[in-house]
Amino acid sequence: MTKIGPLDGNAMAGVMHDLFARDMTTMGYKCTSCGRAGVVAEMAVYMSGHGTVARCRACDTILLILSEHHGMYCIDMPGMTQTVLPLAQL
Amino acid sequence: MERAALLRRLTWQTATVISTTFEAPRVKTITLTAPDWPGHRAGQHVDVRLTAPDGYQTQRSYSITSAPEDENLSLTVERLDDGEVLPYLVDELREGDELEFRGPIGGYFVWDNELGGPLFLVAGGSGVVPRRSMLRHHRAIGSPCLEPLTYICGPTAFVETAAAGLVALGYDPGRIRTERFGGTLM
Repeated sequence: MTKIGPLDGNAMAGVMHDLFARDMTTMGYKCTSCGRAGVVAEMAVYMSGHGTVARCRACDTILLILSEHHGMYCIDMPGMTQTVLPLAQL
Repeated sequence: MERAALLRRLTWQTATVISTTFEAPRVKTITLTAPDWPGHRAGQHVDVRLTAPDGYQTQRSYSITSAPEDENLSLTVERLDDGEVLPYLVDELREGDELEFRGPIGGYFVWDNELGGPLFLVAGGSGVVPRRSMLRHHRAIGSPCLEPLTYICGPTAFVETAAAGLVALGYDPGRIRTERFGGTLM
């Protein structure tokens, strides 16, 4: 399996736009573990054949997990809270 | 340039290669035409998907090198020996071929006039591609100057070293945007 990383949230931009019908990389959040504020584009992102994991740059807590099973996407966001999404711009 | 007022779903579509140009022995610019291309913002990218005869699919992201004002959509890619997609794009793909892609993608590592300037664009390797789009757009619209906005793009280690260095020099981290490429199996 191809392993690519570490990258950042820009690498998830296409998948997330596909799922949410708009760009999500400017969404702000706070890490539930250390409280660090950030935007999706700056998450530490690790991609492999199993899926995508995004971690907090400060404390390494898993913020978001993306995987695909049988044509369905699973998004788990165990480590992020207070999400703020600016208006979509095209 | 008009922008669609409605939210747009990101669907896979087919582009046709108009021309290819070697910028350097291992660096190729691919110019495309696609029927419903809505235009793009400087710094955005597209996802390209290849399908093998046995159905195996793989996709990668490539930054757009053309400016929003340019007549056609262009990507510039650098051949890496152990890639799944790049050897095909650089060695095989030619004028008249079709390419499956979706885009434009991205809302963070982008620049347009409303974000201000002047721009400080830091790029390593193929990180120069989004920089080129931004530079051409900046020149085309004749953007005025105020407080610097920094964009750093390239391999991960390069980006993190440059960003840390600038912050240590006193640059406002809130005015630095980054985009990391893996630089491994692409």
